[in-house]
Amino acid sequence: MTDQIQHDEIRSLLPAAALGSLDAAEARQVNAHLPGCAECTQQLREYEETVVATFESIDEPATMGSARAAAIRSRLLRRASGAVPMPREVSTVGRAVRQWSGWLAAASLVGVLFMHHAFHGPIAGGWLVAGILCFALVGVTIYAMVQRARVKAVTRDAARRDTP
Amino acid sequence: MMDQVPDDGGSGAALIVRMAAGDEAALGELYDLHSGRVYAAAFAVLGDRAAAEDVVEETFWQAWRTAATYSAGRAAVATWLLMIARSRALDRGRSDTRRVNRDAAAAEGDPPPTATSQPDVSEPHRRLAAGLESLSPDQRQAIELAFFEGLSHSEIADRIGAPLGTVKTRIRSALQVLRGLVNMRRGGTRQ
Repeated sequence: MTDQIQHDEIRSLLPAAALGSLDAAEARQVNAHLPGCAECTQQLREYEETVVATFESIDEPATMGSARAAAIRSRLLRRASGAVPMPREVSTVGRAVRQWSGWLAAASLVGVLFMHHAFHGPIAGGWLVAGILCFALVGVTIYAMVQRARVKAVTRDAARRDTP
Repeated sequence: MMDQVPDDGGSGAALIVRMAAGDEAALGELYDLHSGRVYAAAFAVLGDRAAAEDVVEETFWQAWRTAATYSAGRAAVATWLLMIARSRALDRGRSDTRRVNRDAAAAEGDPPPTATSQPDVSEPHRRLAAGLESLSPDQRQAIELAFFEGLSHSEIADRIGAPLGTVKTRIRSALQVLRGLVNMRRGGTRQ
């Protein structure tokens, strides 16, 4: 495909790009083309302004109550200042460590138990006891993780509803 | 009415620069300037006050978090904000529709409705934009599905049973008509 043909094809997609109604493959094409084409970038900008102007021309636009507007403003500023804890962007490694930390702790304890029983055999039926303890540990870990998820959900919900 | 996108003369862009530097007061000023139109756009898509308020908050929160990526050459601040708002509102609408469908199906023990029978929660709340009245019925149908429901080319083609190429043509020609109206009214305003 020559550059001109590709340019013409992309240009024909710009109205839909402004509306966000491109299929995924089309959107990739447009996004790849835009950085090197000032003309298409400018045209897309104009189409987006048209979309926004059409929104703006809706008859009898709804208005937000001043109390609600003030409450949202206040909450936004507190979120921005970090006063209201929000989910932070964390690294993939950090997220994985947090996500699996409970399981890692449980696995470590189970490992210690098995090693201990393998070397010392402290009581009759030690392996059976170790197995039961293993299940108990896994159960406690699952319970703790479920509770932690609930606490996080409640905290997040409270932060969202916490208007001054 | 189609020439209302504010030309802030660069002051909006300056606010975004301050936001990118962590100035919370700039976020407040941006909110004061644009929250009304962001809410109106969100309500036009969703038709629900509480949901539209959530979208307002999420729009400005996204603006705060992504201020450093804003490019004044790419879009005016109002355009940037309203494109974010529309996207968030469409996401919220899809999410709400999925939940309504799931709840209805669970309550009645029926399979979820098909795409063509999904409730259009925002329909009663839409006030047709002045420019849309200038379009042919086919153009208007295609652009409304894209505009208010965020459907892609192929989804619109499936919904209305028209060839994909026809849908692309209708959307392109419709937006060109609207663009012409915007330019004409701006020219009229300047006269």
